[in-house]
Amino acid sequence: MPAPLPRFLTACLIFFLASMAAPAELPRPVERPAIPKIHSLAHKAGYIFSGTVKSVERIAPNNASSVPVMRITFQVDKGYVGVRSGQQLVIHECAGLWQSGESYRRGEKVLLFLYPLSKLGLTSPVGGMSGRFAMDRGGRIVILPGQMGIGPSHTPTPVEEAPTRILLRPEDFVRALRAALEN
Amino acid sequence: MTHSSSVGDLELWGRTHPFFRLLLIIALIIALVRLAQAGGPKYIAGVSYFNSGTVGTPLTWPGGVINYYTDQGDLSSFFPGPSADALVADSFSQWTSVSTAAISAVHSGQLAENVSGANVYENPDGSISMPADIQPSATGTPLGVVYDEDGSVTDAFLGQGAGDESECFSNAVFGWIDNFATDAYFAHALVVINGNCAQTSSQQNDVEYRWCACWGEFWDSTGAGER
Repeated sequence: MPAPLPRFLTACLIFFLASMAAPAELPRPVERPAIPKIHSLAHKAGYIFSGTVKSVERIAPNNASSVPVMRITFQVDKGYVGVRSGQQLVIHECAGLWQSGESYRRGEKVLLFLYPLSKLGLTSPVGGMSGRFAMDRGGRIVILPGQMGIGPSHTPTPVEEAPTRILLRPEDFVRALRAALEN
Repeated sequence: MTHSSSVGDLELWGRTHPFFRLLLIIALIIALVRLAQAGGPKYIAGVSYFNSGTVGTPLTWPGGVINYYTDQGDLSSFFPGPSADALVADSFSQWTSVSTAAISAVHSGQLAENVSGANVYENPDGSISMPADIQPSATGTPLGVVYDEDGSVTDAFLGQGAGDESECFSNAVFGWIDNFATDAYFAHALVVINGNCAQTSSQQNDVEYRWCACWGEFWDSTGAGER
């Protein structure tokens, strides 16, 4: 029976094998943010929430020198910044924006990053359509091609697939938002 | 000969005569392509506001001419008033120089003031005021072009921070059509150009691109400016 290796040699062997193994360790995959612009969106927004459009109303100007605005009431399902879950939030948008496509319909479910109120009491989504996401019936966030580069953190989508849309789970969104707000 | 046997004969012909099949495909393409449409007018005269004879008519600018009026102020230190006017004219030409365009733009004068955050404000009753010649009712200045030198007008309309330089991708140029004549014409529109997005010559193309996109929203993805 051969004599056991001296302790010193055993330690050297372990050290040698460990040092060989270290460079072979795979680099940790780089995580893409769930929403690429989320850092910018989160830091510019005065309100971040998901909710349902309860009502839409055009407030006509009360005199010839004032301008019409839209009053939109949301039932907030999840309030992340500037508003609480379960609260009703009333915002005002310049009526003209509705002509250029920024409009809501009753019952619509959305996730919004809104600018803080202006001195006129008006707001709109941060970065236009970048700050507005539709939500499906399951509460997932629908990310359209124009808003992409977006995807769940751990499942990068190959560029060549060109998905028509991505569905983001609320928990993935919350994780990404928290990370964005902490940095 | 019954209908089913006619169809059966047609299928048999298609299978046995490749030339006939090809002819059939070409005929179908020619017939169906007439039904295809790349787009349609965005604004159509409806029944409740417009004159009865105009129902269904696509809205256009009167006479195919947009008479626009520009801000008296500067767009930025790099684009003082006259340079800004040239930028607007060049931006318009991107649309109007298209060979099929049925629209022209005329710089008809200047607005009566330098529009800024100082003259766009909220009244004590919550209503919003701004200079008379850029309001929806200002049909004498059918298109007002505002040079928002410090981004404060953009901030006021879109929300605090919207006029920052970092927001130029979406907010360099924005606007809307805010008055429609009952005879199915556009009566007034407003465009705001954010001066924070026009600080260098290299930003000129970006601003013009945003201008074109903004006007595309207004009319021509709509067909209203094309023959």
